[in-house]
Amino acid sequence: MNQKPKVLFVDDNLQFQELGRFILEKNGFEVMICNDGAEALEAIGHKHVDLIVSDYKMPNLNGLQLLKTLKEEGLDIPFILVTAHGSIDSTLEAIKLGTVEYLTKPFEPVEIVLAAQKALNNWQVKKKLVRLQKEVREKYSFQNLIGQSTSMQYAYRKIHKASKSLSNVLISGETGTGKELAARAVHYNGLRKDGPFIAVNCSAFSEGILESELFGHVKGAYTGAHRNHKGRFELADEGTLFLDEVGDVPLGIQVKLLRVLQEKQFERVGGHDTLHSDFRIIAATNKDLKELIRRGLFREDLFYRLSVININMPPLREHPEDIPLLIKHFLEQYNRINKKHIKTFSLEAIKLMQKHSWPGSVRQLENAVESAVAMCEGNMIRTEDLPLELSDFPSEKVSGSNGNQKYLPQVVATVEKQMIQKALDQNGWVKACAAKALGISERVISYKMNKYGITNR
Amino acid sequence: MSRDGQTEQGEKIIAVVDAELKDLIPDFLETWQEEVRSVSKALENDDYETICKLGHDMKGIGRSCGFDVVTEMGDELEKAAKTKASDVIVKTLDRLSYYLKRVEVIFV
Repeated sequence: MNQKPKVLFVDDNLQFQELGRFILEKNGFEVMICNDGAEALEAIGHKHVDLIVSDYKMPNLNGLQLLKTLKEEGLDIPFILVTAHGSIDSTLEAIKLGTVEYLTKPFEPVEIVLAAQKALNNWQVKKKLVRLQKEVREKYSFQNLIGQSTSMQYAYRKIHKASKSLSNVLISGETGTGKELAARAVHYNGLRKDGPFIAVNCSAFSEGILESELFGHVKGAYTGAHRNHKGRFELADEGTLFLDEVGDVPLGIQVKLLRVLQEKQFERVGGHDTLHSDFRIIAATNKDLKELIRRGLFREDLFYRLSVININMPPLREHPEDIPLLIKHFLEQYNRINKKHIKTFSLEAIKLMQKHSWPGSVRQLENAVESAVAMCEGNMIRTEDLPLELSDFPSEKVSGSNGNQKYLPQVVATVEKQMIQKALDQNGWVKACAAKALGISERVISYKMNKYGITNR
Repeated sequence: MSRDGQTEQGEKIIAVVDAELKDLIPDFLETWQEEVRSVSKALENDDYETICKLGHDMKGIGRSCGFDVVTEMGDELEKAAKTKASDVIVKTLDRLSYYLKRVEVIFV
């Protein structure tokens, strides 16, 4: 806060008014005085106030009545209630109303200063928390889900419906298709948005560690278990548990998982007490669970328990019409992060990106845009700024067993063109300097510029 | 930090007060002496409600600016007013009046 915080000091005792004003103004506050609660309400209606310090016992609306009135009118201002020593009832009532701080008369001068500073600091923290929560919700709000294609619009409709329900959700899709984003959108737009979102990657742990992560453990349950540990089921109480890569859960844990989903109760590893948790499950997988069931690697009953609502996230190659929207979104994002002002992609760059197969789907596309933003030195991303894997040849044929060699000249030509273009850009289009940077002669660079039609744009 | 380090050295009573409050203290002492007179007048009129309020106010403010004795006496007045113990009120007023006339404030 650059300006002095404005304190409204409410007390009918003239000496306390003087003392309060004197101490607070000496310690960097701007003070307004009111004689009672009614006057204070009037003042709040006309002037901005950062903090209220109010005596409890006053005529014409006491401190508690003032606080209640402010709450009823939706005015959320930090409040310090000053009570006489021993007035426990008023203190308790004030705490129920959510008073920030309270002081007991008589207090030391420094106490009111500390209470005021503490009240304002706590207020700032609370405001920041509310703002962060709002940012998270906005980040995962439906308007931020990118994609106008039919397949993505269908997926978003399902996400929207899933968010209005508390049923278990199974999200399937290849790597990089936005399964976790979809899970978070379901949670942060749903009935449990104020509860925790707890994620666990089931493929990241061995069987024993995964069991401990999910169910928790008690001290001494195994070597290294030095204290009790809460599992993800407990942490997700009143919220959402996101089981990523659920297809990788070992069969032994699948049995236990099924029981928890059915009964919402479980024991920690090594523990005897039965615990309860109220959570909602969203699971995700890039595997074909029905195939795993057929091979005896996934339980059919668990599959049906998880897949009450099914959402499929299509791979990017199935909706290339969304690529321009996606790259625009990522460009804005990485411009912000890198403090750049790149305006757009060249038409050739967009065409190149639309032709690519994107085996890594949206995540790979995002990485490509991030890389291009870092490489680009102008205000337009061109093909030479894009990662080499997007170069002008069919990516799926590079690793094939037949006919690789007939693509080699094309690969060489593309790489040469990109490197020459970049060297010229970096050297102010002075051929001699660009040639030197590339380790070739000026004659060679001139030849290749003619060959590839490289000109200064 | 202010404290009431009052001592009796013959007729002298000392109050040790935070120097930060120096500008306020003369007015406060005068106000308390006026309040002693107001309590006395209220007692003549059996106005225990006024005595209770004045006692309550003194109880609240005294220690806050370094005068523990004012808080103690204010508390006694408030309690006495609630039970209408006029003799206690009289004695307390005498003690308070004596204290206010003789207290010497040392600012630290």
